[in-house]
Formats: sequence, structure tokens, C-alpha cells
Amino acid sequence: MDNEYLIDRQTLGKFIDELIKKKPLAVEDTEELNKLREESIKALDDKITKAIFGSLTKEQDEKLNQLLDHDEDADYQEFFSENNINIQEIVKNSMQEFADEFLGGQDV
Amino acid sequence: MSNKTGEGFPNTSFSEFDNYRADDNNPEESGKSSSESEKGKYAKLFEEIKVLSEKLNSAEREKELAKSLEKEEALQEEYIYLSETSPEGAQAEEPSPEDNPSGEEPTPDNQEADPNDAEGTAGKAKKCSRIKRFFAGVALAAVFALGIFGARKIVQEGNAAQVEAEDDDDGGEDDDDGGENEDNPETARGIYDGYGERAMYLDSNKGGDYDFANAVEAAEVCNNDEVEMVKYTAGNQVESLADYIANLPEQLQPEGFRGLSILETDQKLESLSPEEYDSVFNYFCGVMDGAFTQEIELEGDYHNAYMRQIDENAGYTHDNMELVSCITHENGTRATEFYWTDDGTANGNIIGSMIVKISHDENGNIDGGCLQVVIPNSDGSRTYIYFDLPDIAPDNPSTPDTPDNPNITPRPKNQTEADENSGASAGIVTPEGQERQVTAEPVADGTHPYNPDTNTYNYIPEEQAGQIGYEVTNDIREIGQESAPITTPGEIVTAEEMVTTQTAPEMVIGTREGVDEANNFDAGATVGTGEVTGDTPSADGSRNTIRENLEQATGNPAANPSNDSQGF
Repeated sequence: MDNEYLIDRQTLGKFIDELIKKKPLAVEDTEELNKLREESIKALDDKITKAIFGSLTKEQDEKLNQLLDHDEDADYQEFFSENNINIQEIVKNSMQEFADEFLGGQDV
Repeated sequence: MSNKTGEGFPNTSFSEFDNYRADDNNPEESGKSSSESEKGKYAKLFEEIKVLSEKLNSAEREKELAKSLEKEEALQEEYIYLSETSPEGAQAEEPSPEDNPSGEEPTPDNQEADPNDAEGTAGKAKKCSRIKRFFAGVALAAVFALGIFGARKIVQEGNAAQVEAEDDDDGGEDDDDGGENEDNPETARGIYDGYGERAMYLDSNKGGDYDFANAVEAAEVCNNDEVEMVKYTAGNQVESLADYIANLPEQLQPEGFRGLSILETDQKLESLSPEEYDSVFNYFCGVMDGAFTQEIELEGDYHNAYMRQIDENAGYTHDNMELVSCITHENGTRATEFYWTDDGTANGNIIGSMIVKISHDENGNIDGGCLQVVIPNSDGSRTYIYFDLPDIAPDNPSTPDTPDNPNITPRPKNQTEADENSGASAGIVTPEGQERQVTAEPVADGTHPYNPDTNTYNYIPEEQAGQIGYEVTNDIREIGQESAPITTPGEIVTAEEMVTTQTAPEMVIGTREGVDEANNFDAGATVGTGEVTGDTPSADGSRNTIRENLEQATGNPAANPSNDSQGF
């Protein structure tokens, strides 16, 4: 399991690939393209991660920590729902913002 | 965002703020910041200034500080105005959504988490497969919601679905695929029966663990009476995962797997390191979590497949088995459709679907079953007809159109229903139009058919086989002919051997037809379903039942099967 990413890397990769298609990167070779692609994937993951965990209150953070530490069968959907955290919207907005920055104003 | 107070911010205190404010021209105002919301505003502003000052160089810092000071002065003026015009106004003023979106009074519990703590939690989450799986589904839904992938409209006509392809706006991505896609009938994928070696057990609560179990475990979970069709499996979950991955909508297939056949997918999975494999598996689970489901009833015929020997003299080994396509009849078969939409909602345009036959309990609820995947055709010419598998054997003994005998009949709960549904035993109808079902023989010692410790199988109890309708013949090519025995009666076969002895490894529910009183199957008819054992012609050329063979071999009467015995 890749512990560097919060979001599944394949999903991130798909998203980045679609963005690249809409706005090809100015690169000289495949190696550079791959490097930029990887950096974009990481940046997107960091953005989403920051948005999710930055939205937590102290209490929510503590609760989540408890679930991560002690509950192997935790229902995280339930956790975010009960705490009125619209996780879907947070992730979607983060990705939208990233896409906007990446594309420089083009429609996603 | 949560409300912020002066507490909890590093190097921040109201006394410091008061000192700062005291440097201004309104020293007495520092004592008037009694309202919590105002404190919050100023604290937020101070924090903002602090953050900016740390990040920017001196020139920019001064510029930003100037802006912040202007803002602060504006807030201060507002505060003064409110204080003078309405002493209660400042206190009654509602906080802005930014400061207190929840509308709650700021309390220590509503404090935003310390950034370091949040970072630590994020780090933990990155190591937790369960939460990552959850986020994978969320992210996938977000991708759809953002309209990244092109959508195809599914026009629902009762239980039949015709796909109307729309132009993708993804830059012709499909052109890069060397393999099949659903828009090209010539290369579309089908399903495998029997190639997979492990049944997939889906937890009844979608979003749980999609675990892979062996056939016996799957049958136990599915409750044989409810199972309509089970992919026979033995021990390797990779092939089953390959089946499912290959049948996912292309947009959802893992990176590097798009357009691959099931065989190619299997080979690729086999080549991965354990970490890479886990990554793919977790991704797949996330995809499934992101799917919506609806119950459907299948109609029409399906391309299907089973295994047979390549070289009859080379024994029953995995390498000596090839896949053969056939047609199965699915009218009335219950199934569950997993579908994904372009906007992440249940009613959005469907961008892809996968149909899995899942068992149901008596209330019609999904009963945690695991069954084969079927794919509808894309041209709508025939309901749910799908296409030849790319790596099947060229000799295709597909059957002609048959009477309306469904391949699979939902197992009735009582015999009356069974009588009403007679004729429901057909799996694959032979060219001669005959059908047969044969049963395996009881387990000699009445034990559970699968021994996980030794990874071996015993014969399936007769009653069980009778219920499920196991096919005994080893080779569908030998329709109408006597089939060679697969194993020596009474022999305990290994899981590997069991795999290779499977032709069409599906359990068929239905009545037993074509079976005489002695449990001898009628020559000339076959049901292309999972077979367990063969039988050996006796010395006089007549065909013994396996029970008889067993008794002959051991000299002991075959024991009655245990009622708890299940599975293969």
C-alpha cells in the first residue's frame, strides 16, 4: 500500500491525465512529462489532504485519531456525516480548484 | 470553517494583541473588545497578519501589512460605530460565516485542529487502507461529478438496457487502447465461468470488505438454495480479480489495465509485486464502493465459457486447460447491476455498468453473494447478449436457440414452485436439444467437502449435488458420448485437480432431469455446468454411478452425506 498518498494514486493519475489532455504540458521529453505528472499527482493529493484535515475541529481530529488507532472496522462515511462534514464537497472543490489552477481558467 | 478564538494560536494572546492595539491611536479600545465574535475577528486578522509576515519578503510584507492595517481600521471603525449607536449591537452582531459557519458559540471543542495534529492525523490516514478506500470512492465520485469522463446514456427499457454511445470529449482516449472496448462488438469482453479460481464474496453492505473466498465458503455465504450461479473457484483470487477488473467500465479500470482481456489482466496482476497488487485491489474496492446498485432481472442469452482439456492425453493440469465459449440462457435470472454515473449521483448519466448475479434472501435483500460478472451488449441488438471472449478456443460449441427454458431458475422455496418451474434445469442445451443433469456421489466419510488444511476436496454429497445440479461430464465436446472418468472413485482430489476437472463450473439450480433412478445420466444430453466427478464405466460397459464406483473401490457402503455439507 502506498503510504505517501491519501487518495488512491490511480484515481489521482486519471484526473491528472485528463487535465494534461486538456492542457498539454510544455515539456521536452517523456521523462520530463512523467516527472511533472508525478509532481502534479502529489500536489493534488496534498491539496485534498490539506482540505480534508484542515476542515476538522480539534475534537473531530481527536475522534478521527481514535478511529484510526483503535477501530479496524470504523465507518468513516458515518464519521464525516455525523460531524456534518461534507467530505464529497470538500474533495470535489479541491479538485476543481486544482484543475482551475492547472488549466489557467479553461473549463474542466 | 470553525470559529477561531484568540486561544490556541501560537504566540498569540489578547495581551499581545492589546499591546499591539495600544500602539495604535486608540489604546482604550483594546479594553472594549469584549465581544467574543469581535475578539474572533481581530484574532483572525492578527493571525492573518502573522502568517503573511512570515511568508513574504520585506517589501511584500510591508505591502500586505498595509492592506491588513486598512482592513483592521475598517473593522475598528465599524466596531466604534456599532458601540456608539447600539451598545448591544457589537455583542448582538452575528459572526460572519467565515468565523462561525456552524452558528455555534466558539468553544474549545470547536477550535480548529492544530495544524501539526491535523498533519499527524493525515499521516495516519495514509496508512489506513480502510479510510483510503473510503476516500478513493469519494475522489472517484468527484472526478465523475466534475465531468472528466464522457458519459453514455443508458436508455432503460424495462429490464433491458440499450447503450447509446455519445461522443467522448476526452480527446479520443479510446484510440490509444490496443484492446477491446464496449463500442466495438468484435472485441468486447465477456465473462468467464471457471477460469477464475476463486469466487468473489461481496459483503452484503456495499462498502465493506470485498473479500475473495473459495467456492465452498462462497457457497456457504450465499446459501446454496439461493445461489443461482457460482463461479467455481479453487484457490487463486488473482484470476477472479482479473475477471472483475477486465469487466469494469474502461474509465474505471486501474492504470495499466485498460482494454486488457481477462487473460491479459490476470497475467499482469500475476506480475505485480505484493504492494502493487494490494494497490490495485484497494483501488478496485474503491471503485466498487463508488458504484450504485439496482436490482434487475436478466433476459436472453449470454455468452459464457468453460474449461476443457487441450490434450486429452496430457492430464488435467491447469496448463492443459483451455477456455471454450458457449451460450447460457438467463431469462429470469436475478442480478444486481453496479453502475457509475457522470455526476456521482444515483440518477446521473451512466458511464458504465457491471452486472453481477447476487443471491438474495427470502426478503429479497442482497444476501452477500458473489457471482459471475456479465456485461450487456452495446448495440442493443439482443438484450444482454455480449461478445466472444478474445482468448477462447476456436472450437465453439455454442448451442442453437433453445426453448424458453431459462438457464438459471431462481431456486424456489418450496417444491410447489419447483413443479411450476419445471424445466429449469438447463444449463447448456446440447445440439441435440437434450438436457441432462447428473449428480455427484456422496462423500465417503460424510465430511465437509473442502478441507482447508490440506486444500483438498472430497466428493460432493449426492443430495447436495442433486439440489445444485452438478454436471458430471468432463467435457462438453463429449455431449452424447460417454465421458472418461476424471478421478478414481473415492480418491480425494486436490484443489488444483478440481480446477482442471471443471468444464463449466457453475452450480445450476433446478430440477433434476435426465437422471434415472440409479442416478445414471442419460447419454446424449448434458448441462454445461460445474462438474465434480466423473464416473467409470463398469466392466459390462454400463455406467456406474459414482456411489457404486465408490462402493466397489472401498468395499464399503457409501456414507450418507452430512446435511451441513455444502459447496463443491
